[in-house]
Amino acid sequence: MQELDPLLHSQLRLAIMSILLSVEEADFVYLKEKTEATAGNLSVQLEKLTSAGYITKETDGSGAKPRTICQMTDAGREAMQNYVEALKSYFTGL
Amino acid sequence: MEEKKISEKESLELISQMIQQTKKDSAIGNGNMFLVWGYLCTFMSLAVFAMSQIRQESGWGWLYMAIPVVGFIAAGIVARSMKKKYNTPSTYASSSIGKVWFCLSFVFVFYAVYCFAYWNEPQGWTGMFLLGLFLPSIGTYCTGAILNEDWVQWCGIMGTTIGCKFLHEVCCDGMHIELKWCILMAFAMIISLVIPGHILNYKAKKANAK
Repeated sequence: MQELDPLLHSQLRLAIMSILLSVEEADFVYLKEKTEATAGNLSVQLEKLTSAGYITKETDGSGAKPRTICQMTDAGREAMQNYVEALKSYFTGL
Repeated sequence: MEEKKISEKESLELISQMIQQTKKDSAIGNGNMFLVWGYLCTFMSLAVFAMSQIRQESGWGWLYMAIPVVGFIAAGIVARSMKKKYNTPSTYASSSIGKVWFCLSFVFVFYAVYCFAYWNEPQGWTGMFLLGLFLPSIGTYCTGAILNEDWVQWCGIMGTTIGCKFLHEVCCDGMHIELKWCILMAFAMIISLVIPGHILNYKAKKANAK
């Protein structure tokens, strides 16, 4: 069995990455709504994913309120692919 | 949700659940732009036909020029209210669809500029009619193909066949617009924009009701 990426093997971070995997970009409000996380906790987890290079965060100030927009990077996509491959190894033979 | 360790089974379920949810969310309001432009073009075509019949003047064709003005304002308002109400994420599909319609709109606008530039050749405006029949249908087909919606693709194909009928008449009978084409234009808009708009909104509503 392959080892699971500890950064992704957490409920909230995995939920964030799964959302970003299927969209081009998503803003902070959308991620908060879908993950039902607190703003503080979500910010911390986004910061961890950003530091790992899995996602990028940008602030869009063009509207009335500034929006934090998150996007998955190529490294993040690769990490998710490896994570799913590792997960599969846990289910082979079942 | 919190920062907590989960089992391998829970991980798979979570990934699947989030992807499904995002897919449903991104489908919300997919048909709204089709409805805005479809109803507007249908209404304008019928208005041109009705006014030309009632007043017996040919100048009513200029009513078509109101379509881009009213359309872009209405589309902007709808897009803004949708963003405010649902906060749907931007997907690769929505971005590709946006680029397809941008390209088609560009052709339309560029041709209109061309017609204005060659003002003394009014027969050139017939081309606008031709583009109006073809471009929305092509856009609808591409949208259906990107979203993998068979019925939307078929609507696009049917709209294009109406365009072919017009193209054939133009090639055989010369470059002049007859009033009956306004009715055909309205019919084409219902097939290539209004029906797909309702199909997309119905499917999104059904998916989100589950």
